[in-house]
Amino acid sequence: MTVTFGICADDPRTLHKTMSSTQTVNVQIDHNCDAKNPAFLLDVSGFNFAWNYARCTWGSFFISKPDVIDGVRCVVRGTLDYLDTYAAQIAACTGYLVRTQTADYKNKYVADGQMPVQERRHMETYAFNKSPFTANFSTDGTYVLCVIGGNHNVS
Amino acid sequence: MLADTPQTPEQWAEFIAAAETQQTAQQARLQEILNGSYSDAEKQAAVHDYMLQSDYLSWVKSKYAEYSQTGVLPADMTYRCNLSGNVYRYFKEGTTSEYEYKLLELGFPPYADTNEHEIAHMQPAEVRTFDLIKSPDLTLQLKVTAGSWADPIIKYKYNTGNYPGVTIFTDNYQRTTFEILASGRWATDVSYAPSSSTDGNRNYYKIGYAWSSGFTWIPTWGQWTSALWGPYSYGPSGSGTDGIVAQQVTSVQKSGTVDTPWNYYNDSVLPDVDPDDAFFPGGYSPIPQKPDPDMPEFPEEVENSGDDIELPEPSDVGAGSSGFITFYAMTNAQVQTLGQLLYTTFTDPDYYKNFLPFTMGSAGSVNISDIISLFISFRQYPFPLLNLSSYTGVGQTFYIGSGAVGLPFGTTLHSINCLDYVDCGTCSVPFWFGDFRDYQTQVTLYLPYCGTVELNPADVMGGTLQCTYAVDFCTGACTAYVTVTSWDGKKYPVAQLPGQIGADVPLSGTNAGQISARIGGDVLNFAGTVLSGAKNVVSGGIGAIVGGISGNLGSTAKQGYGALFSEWDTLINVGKQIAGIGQRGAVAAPALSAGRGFAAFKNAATAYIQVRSPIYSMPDNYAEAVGYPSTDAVQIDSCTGFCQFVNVDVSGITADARDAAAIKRLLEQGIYVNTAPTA
Repeated sequence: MTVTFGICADDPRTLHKTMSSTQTVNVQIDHNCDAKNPAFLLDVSGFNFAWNYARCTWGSFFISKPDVIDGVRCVVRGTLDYLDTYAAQIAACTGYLVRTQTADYKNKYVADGQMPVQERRHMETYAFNKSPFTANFSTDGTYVLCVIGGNHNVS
Repeated sequence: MLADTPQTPEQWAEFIAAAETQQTAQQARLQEILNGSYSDAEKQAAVHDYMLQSDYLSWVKSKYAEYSQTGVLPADMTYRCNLSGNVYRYFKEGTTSEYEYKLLELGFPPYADTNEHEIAHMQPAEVRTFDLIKSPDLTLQLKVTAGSWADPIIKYKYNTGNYPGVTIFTDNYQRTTFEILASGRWATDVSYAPSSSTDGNRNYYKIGYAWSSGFTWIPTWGQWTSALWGPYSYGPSGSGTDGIVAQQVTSVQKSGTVDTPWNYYNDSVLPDVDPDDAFFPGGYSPIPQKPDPDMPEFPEEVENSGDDIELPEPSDVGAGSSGFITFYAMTNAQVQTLGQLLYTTFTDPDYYKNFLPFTMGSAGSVNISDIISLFISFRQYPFPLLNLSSYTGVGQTFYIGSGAVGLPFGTTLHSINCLDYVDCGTCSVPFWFGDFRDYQTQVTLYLPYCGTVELNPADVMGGTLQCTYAVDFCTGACTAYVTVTSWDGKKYPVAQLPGQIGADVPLSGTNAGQISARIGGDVLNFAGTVLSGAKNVVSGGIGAIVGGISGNLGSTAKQGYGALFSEWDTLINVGKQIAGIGQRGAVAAPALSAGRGFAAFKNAATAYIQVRSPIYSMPDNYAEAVGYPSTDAVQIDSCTGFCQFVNVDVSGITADARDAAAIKRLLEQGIYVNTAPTA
């Protein structure tokens, strides 16, 4: 079977991956291999060690470092890239968006607890003197003498 | 991409109609604001919002045109606001005609709500007839030549003293120092000779009229009338010729640059709206400029059904009403008078007898300490007592003990209740950022003599705090009650902080502070104690109470009220008992930060509030790396860039359970949504 190897510089979290320096080669795979972690056996001649990504008919794979078998053949192992493999179907899914870069969907007044805070000393103090309480105490007070009796019955 | 991109002609019609409806509503709103009593900032915001709406409507129509011409849906249905460019173009200096044109195009008069803005009524052609010269200090010089009313002008004469200045834009735009170019020219050409006698009666003039020939006379400052006077003769009261006579203004030449209302909308005041960051309506700025006047509007769907929590009125009985004690509110001079009476002037032993009939001792056995022992407390309070509601004049005789005979005092004495209140007024806590940061602050309330207390920002932001001190003159304690009237109108208490506001003044060897500690307890508990003991009073008399308490009464114990405190030790015992009861009350130890005694008088005397807000850093790639919060349920391919989902429905994916679970996990961790690369 043929597998297209290439270089993918996208973040692994990218939905659709882009490959460059692609090269399609014949490979053999173990008939007992795991479909999500297949081992590709291929001819070393012409092998480009810069390959880090592969696509075949049943999925897209992140490629591991090759294991040279005998100087002629080597084995590279793949790890299924779910996002790229199922990209078209994922794009059609609906989900509840909680964080986004999309301008249309971001909310203005939703608390963003993940926003980083600068150093504590950069906290801003305000309203210290704004609209203060309109009355204040002073040292111009007076005395209160409390005595026994006195006949001034107040509550 | 919009969530509901119209797919059919009918949907397009609805789409456009909705935008037009919004446009109409926004225009009405703008009209209302421009003609109403709103601040310049609000008017600016209204124009700004309207521009946004207009831009959006234009975009909708352009997309429909694209669709109707090609028959296919536009490839890009993402609305990108072009507001900033438009606003700058409309309002930048030197674009008066554009501004004029834009407002006329919008279907209402240009921005002009009061006479101060009258120049904005100028038609472009009329504006060009001005000869206004602005010097660097913003002084406007006006040159007027005689002629006809064919080219009327609008001018205001502002009475600034001996020589009236002319201002076009006054307080609203801080342009108040305009002057006429030359008085001679002005007087000659418009037949008006300013003089102190007439100027003194005319604070405000409007010369000329932009819409028709005529003259509008404004008799007094701030009194606006739209009445048009004849173009040739009128006076301040509608008769005579002491006003402007025979105005024949043919032209007013303009040169230079004049600050005009539209220049108020300059770059520095406009919100910094990034078209790429646009969010309709109103724009989006990750860190809004402060303060945000738009916040808050209570969500309509939330029913605010809370009840006001009012503080109760205290009991109508108290320590004073018990008849045991009296609280004299005394000035410093009165205290000195009392000291003189007790220690020097008042020397007749018989007076001691009269004051202390229950001592039953001989005159020689009574001394000053016996008098002092009847003083429960003597404290200084840091506020004028005469403002208290219970402050009452009780004559010029100082009574103590039995009250049979008093000390002749000379000046009127006043008594107060044991419990009274000091109103500290209110303090507003404004929203500052207008977003979640207002609720991630530390709000600290300082209350004099009580200390500080942390408040929940959710309780106080946007609200008004009101603080009242309940002062217990029996113990010198106080409790500060703080209530908030929240921004949605609800009122509830948020803090009740105890403190010590009265500073003990030592009277004798017996320290007043120690007495206070023994007598401690709040007035309500004191009153409750008395009331509780009253059960026994009914049958056994009050003397029996004391007997029960101290067990140390002499033979005169049952001789009535005067026998209560036959010995100082008895008084101390009573104090101990009362103090013990009082400790069951709610009075807690004052906050350590408040201090006590006279030293506390050095503390800040005004209650204040401190709000400390964290400063958030917003890296340029914040949206890409972390993403902004969102609350939408969307299809994934309608998103771009970094997105994080929960509860994604993966039932449509033809994968085994293991793969579906893995996909779901990845979506919850966050992915970068992009379009499929082309081959």
